Order: sequence, then structure tokens, then C-alpha cells
Amino acid sequence: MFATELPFEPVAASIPIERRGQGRLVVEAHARDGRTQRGRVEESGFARVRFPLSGRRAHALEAVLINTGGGLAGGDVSQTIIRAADAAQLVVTTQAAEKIYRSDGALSRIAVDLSAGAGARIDWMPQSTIVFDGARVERSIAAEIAADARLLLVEPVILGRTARGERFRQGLLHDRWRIRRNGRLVYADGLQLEGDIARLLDRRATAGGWAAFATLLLVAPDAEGRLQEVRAALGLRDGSPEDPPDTLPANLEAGASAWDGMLSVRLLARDGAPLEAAIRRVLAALGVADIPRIWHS
Amino acid sequence: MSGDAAPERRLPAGVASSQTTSAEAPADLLALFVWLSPAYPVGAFAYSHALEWAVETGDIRDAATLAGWVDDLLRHGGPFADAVLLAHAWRATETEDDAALAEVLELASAFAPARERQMETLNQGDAFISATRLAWPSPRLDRLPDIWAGRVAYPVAVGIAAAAHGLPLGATLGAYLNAVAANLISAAVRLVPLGQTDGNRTLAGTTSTVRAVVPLALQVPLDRLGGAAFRSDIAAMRHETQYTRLFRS
Repeated sequence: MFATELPFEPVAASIPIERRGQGRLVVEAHARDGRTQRGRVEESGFARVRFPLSGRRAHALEAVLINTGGGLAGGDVSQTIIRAADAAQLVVTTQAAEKIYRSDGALSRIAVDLSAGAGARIDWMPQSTIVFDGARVERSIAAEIAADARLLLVEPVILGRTARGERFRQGLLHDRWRIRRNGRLVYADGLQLEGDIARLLDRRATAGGWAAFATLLLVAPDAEGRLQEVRAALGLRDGSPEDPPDTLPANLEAGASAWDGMLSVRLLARDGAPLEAAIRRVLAALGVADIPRIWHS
Repeated sequence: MSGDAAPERRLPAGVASSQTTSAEAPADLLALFVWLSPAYPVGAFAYSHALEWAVETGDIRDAATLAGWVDDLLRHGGPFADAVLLAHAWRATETEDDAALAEVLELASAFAPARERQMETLNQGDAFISATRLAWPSPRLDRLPDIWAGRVAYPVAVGIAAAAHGLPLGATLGAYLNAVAANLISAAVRLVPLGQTDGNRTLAGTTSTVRAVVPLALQVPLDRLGGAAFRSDIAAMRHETQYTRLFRS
């Protein structure tokens, strides 16, 4: 899931403007007789989707997103639109970690647009995004879900190719999350990294020099009731006097909170491995027993 | 502000009296001193913005680490995002753009990484609006329920009131951030604990950060709202289960 060694090493600066990519993907899913089937699918540019047999489940449809360009260079634009109609259940993941290459100045843009109808469910759990040093990327994640729908977002980000000692020293990373439930904005978040990023991330109240982080957000009618299990899965104490002390690994910081029909988990880790381990523990506690097969490969 | 009861005191030539109209006087910032003083009934003293957890972990243990943490928050944390929200609320009120104001109000009420952070901003915001509508009435404050039926985040409340009373945006932002910093430092003085002199020195040092941050916050569009205070956000979550707590956040 968090492979940071790459089979090849494209140099974005050498890619001429006219060859910079656009990828647009639309996936619709419908519920039929208790199962979820693919509806309209549109693929263009470097964006592809597969619905692997190995991903077939009792009720949910698994969609695996593929970037045939192997990553995003400066100027590339990726748009993903996922629609789960009423009662449809969709698990979306990616074939590989998304790599954001060093840019010659142009911004890469990623837009994710999710919607879930009444009683529908979307588990959005891509593999990690790896941000190369010098990358410049702006990402937007927007979701609109029905009052009784369920949305799970799992978004791990690794800053720099940590396996080779690279840090995300300079560049740009802007991330914007806007989640609406029943028409009302219930969750908004923003990450702004720019300028001397290594120095910024070394600060105590920011990342303390660590390179990997993730937000897991569950919006669901029963989301708040899962807080205790999630804290236990992470090794966080529960606040009662007889509770044992934290058993967090030394290379991980984590917190969990629940409010307003949501459960949010923030993870910060030295690198990808402890982050991945923590994500798996949280997913298990959330009852996502069927982690996408592709994660195991 | 009315001087009806007191006899008019003669002032030396060139000194504006409180009776002077605002057009003639330098910007009258007295309302800001009142609204952003620790005595204003928003209950600021009850919230530590998760600083209580940072003291527990030893991230804040003396004046230097306190100054660093507060500096991080002012530049990359909740207070910076709040400054951006305040500026947008001020402008939307000033231009009477109700749709823009409703957007800021909605975004500010949802822009929280953890339960206590949302509570901290909404409790203070609602209290600020209630107190200010009574003591510093303004038609623009009275119209607020027509624009937004939900709760009001604290920086948005301050931005609306400041614009409603003709207070300049830059001074409002500076006063707001300074008050936030003072509240954090006051919490740390009790929690670490630190001497009053250390607390005062830290606060004095923080003013230069506030001066640097105000012009930055003025430039940020709502789409770029945010920061990078991962550990402060995690601290807000961890504070929920902190065993011994003096503060509500």
C-alpha cells in the first residue's frame, strides 16, 4: 500500500506542456435486487476504472481507479466523480499509490466529487498519495450525502519519498475538504503547505518533523457510537481513571473525536509503515472487514 | 459612550473629546478593547485550544516552548484560520452581502477538526453575539437570524460586530489575535506553571507575530482556508480524554 520505491523515475520538468495530462472519470452505481451494479462509466485521458472479480462482495461494488500516466506531473488535472444512487454500496480504491512529481512550476490539480443517495454507502479509501519534493498540487474533496447515507473517507499522504530519505522541502500542497449532509455543510478542513515546507513541518504544533499523515472521516448515523472502539484500536486511553495508559507505537501520534454524526481520526507518523498499520486497525474497528484486495498485493 | 451624566471636562486644544464625531477623531477602537478583554462575557478563560494537552505531553514546558507553540498556532493553526474567517465576515457585513455572510457563517461552523474545537468557537461566538446585541445594539446584528439560523463561530461574530460598528478590519484582526494569544498564554501560566513575568514577556514577543500575521490573513480566500497544525489538532482530540482537566478544550 505504501510502496515508495518506484519502477521508473519520470522527470516532470522534461515533459512538454502539450503532453500534460487530463484524466476524468465518472462512475455511477445502482442498487438492484440487494446488490450494487455499475451504471454509467466514463473514462477519459489517463483515468481508468476496473471492477475486479476479486473485489465482488455480498452487497458492495468495488471500483479500482487506475492512473495510466503513473502519477501526476505539474499541470496535470485529475477529476473523479463518484455517484452512489439510493441504497447502492460502493468501495473505491486505487491500483497504486498516487505519485505527485516535482513540478517545474505548474500546479497539478486533483478534484474528487462524491455523492451518496438515501441509504447509500461510499467507502473512499485510495492508497497513499506520495508528494515528491518540489511537487505543487491542489486537491479538493467534496461530498454530498443524504441524511441516512454513510461516507467513509480514508486519505493517507506521505510527504517525500521517505524510503530514500527524501523530504517534501519545498513546493505546494493545498487540500480542501467540504462534506455536506442533507444539504448542510457538516465538515470542512484545509491544509496549506507552501514556502519553506521542511521548516514549517519541523515545528512542534505542526508535524514535529514527521512525514506521513492521514485523516479518516466517517459520516454515518451511527458514527459517534464507534468512538470508543476506534480509540481502543489505536491504543488511546479512554479517560476513565482505571483505563490503562496509551499503547501507541513510538512512531505514531493519533487522536479520535466524534460529534454531529461524524467520527474523525487524525494520524501523524514518522513514515508510511506505522501510518498504514494504524489505518488497518481503525478500519477493522469500524467494521470494514473487507479491505480492498488490491491493498494486499 | 454617551457622556450625558458627567459634566463636560475642558480638554487642552488639539485633544479630541469623546463627544467628537467619528469623522473628526482618529479611529475609535474602544469597543475592541471591551469586546476582546478577558472580562467580556464569552467565557474565553474556560478554553485552552488544547494547550492543556500540550502541557501534559511536555510539548509546552517553559516560556520558550510556549512562545513557539503560540507562534505556530497564529501562523498555521486554528487562530490563523479564524483570522481569515473574521476578515471575510467583516467584509460581507460591510458590503451587506448576505449570501457571502451566510457562506462564511456556514463554513466557520463546520471548520473544526474535533468536537471540543467546534464547541470552543460556537460557545464563545453565541455568547459574544448575545452580549453584544444587548449592550452594543446594531441593526446589522439584529438581522443576523434572518441570514443564518445556526450557531455563530467566535471570529465570525467578532467580524460582524466590528463591521456593524464601523471598526477598521486591520485593527480588529490584530486585537482579536492578540486576545487569543493572551488567553493561551494565561492558560499556560497556570498550567505549566510559569511566572507572571515569563507570561508577560511571552505576550510581548507574540505581538510581533500578530503584526506579521494580520496582513497575511487579509489575503487568504475562503477556498484556501486552513493551516498545518496536525499536532495541535490531535491534541484537541486527546484533550477529550485527558484525565485531569481544568479547561473545556
